[in-house]
Amino acid sequence: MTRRPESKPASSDVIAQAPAASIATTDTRVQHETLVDAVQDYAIFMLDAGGHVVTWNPGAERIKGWRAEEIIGRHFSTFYLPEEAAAQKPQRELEIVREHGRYHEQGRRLRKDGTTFMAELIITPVLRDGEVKGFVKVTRDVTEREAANEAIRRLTEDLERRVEERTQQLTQANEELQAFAYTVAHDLRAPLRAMQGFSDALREDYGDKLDDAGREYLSRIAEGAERLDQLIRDLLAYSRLARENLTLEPVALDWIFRQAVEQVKSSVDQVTLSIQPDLPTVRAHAATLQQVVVNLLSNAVKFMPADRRPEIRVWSEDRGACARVFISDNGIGIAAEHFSRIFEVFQRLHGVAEYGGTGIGLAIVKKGLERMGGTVGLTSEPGAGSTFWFELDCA
Amino acid sequence: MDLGAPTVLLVEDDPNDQLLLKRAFRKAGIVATINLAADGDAAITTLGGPGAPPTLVLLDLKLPRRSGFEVLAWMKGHEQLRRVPVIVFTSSGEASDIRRAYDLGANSFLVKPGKSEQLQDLVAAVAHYWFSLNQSAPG
Repeated sequence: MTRRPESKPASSDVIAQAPAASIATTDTRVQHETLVDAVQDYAIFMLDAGGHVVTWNPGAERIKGWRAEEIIGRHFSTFYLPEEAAAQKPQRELEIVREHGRYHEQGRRLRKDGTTFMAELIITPVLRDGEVKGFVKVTRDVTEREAANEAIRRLTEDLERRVEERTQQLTQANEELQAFAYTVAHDLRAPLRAMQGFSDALREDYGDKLDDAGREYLSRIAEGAERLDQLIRDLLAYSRLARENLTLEPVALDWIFRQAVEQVKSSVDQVTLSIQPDLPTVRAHAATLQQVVVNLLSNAVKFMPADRRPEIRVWSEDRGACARVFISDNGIGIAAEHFSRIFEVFQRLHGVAEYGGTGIGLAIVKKGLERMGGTVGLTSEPGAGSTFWFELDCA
Repeated sequence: MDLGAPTVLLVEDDPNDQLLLKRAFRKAGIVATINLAADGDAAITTLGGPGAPPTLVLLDLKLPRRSGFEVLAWMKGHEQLRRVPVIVFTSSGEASDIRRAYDLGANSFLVKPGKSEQLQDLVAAVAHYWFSLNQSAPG
């Protein structure tokens, strides 16, 4: 039971409730006291009009440490840090309650043993006939909650710091990678150019002085240099795709396919190529999409049995928010178990002598589409041809 | 020296590229005087010296001493040389290089081809455009 001092009958008139409850009957008062007694997690106690403790519940004893008989009758400034008590903070709080009907705060309060805890508290007035007869103070110990908040704040700060560090490391690594790629692009290709250029020059200017074997050796040097040059270019294109920001904008697929066909023209002379007119406009990065289409078209032409005339078809399907574009060929096809392998860097299903290439073309296709928010896939029948498709958002 | 023949200043440090380019001019049948500067400083000394400015500058970007970009910026800030067409002629078409070259006032950006035939085609196209079609600024 909520303890009341028998010696202060006047205080027993004070009812611990909001103004509406000041007309409570004795029955409800008893029920109410039982309720307050049961509360362990909150200190619920009453003050008289001057701020002296009038009642004390078990929660108050648990949180603050005083037993009822020790504290009842004492002024509630006992719970305040000495400097706050000296500055009349408790009295000011009661003034605020008188004026505004409520005081709410989170702050440090004293326990009986002199230690402090973080308290969240509400003070409300007890009214009778419109007059403030006393106050109800409800206090909760939020030390643990505050400690948890503090721990979260520290963890967040720590995490932010680590993310920043990591970002810095990655930025540096990226810059180094860019410098590396730049060097590869410039310096690694110069000697290759010399190999290509001078083997061409040798063939052009002195070819007639060589026999067939000599000329064949020469063409093998040139082919080797050209293959390495292509490999470097593909690797640079792939690494550029992985690290550069792509700005997406509406790109007309008609235009992309016209450009791409122009680029692979030398290899498609003997090809039957039918491209659906009025291909849609998609959201893409034009240069990247062109590279994707060039790679898919040149693969369609390349992987063809020697005795077969390539037939390539391009068409699109409306898939709501996006468009799916198909490129089908009548080439050698791909067994289903290799479908995922072919999109990985350096994966090849054939020897260089059989079908040339660097093994990066489809990796560029996949990475490029991913960077543009698209997808790629295929269906294929070994011996009869493949149909590659890609999806991009419609513009 | 063929008086009236166009002059090209080739700013190029790689002796192989120097040789291949000169050969490509010869093979393509282009009559032009090709002067050589093997680094950025040499280019600026040659360009800043006495004598008429070249008809065209073919400028590599990665050079010893001052880089091609520095030579380009210097030229475009020079009273007499700023209207001389500069073709950047370099190993790779890195987007950042291309943007920077044009920002600095390059008139064209070409990537060096590896194959001899392609180089001859390129030289012929450059000569046709810059020596025949293009109106250069009156001196």
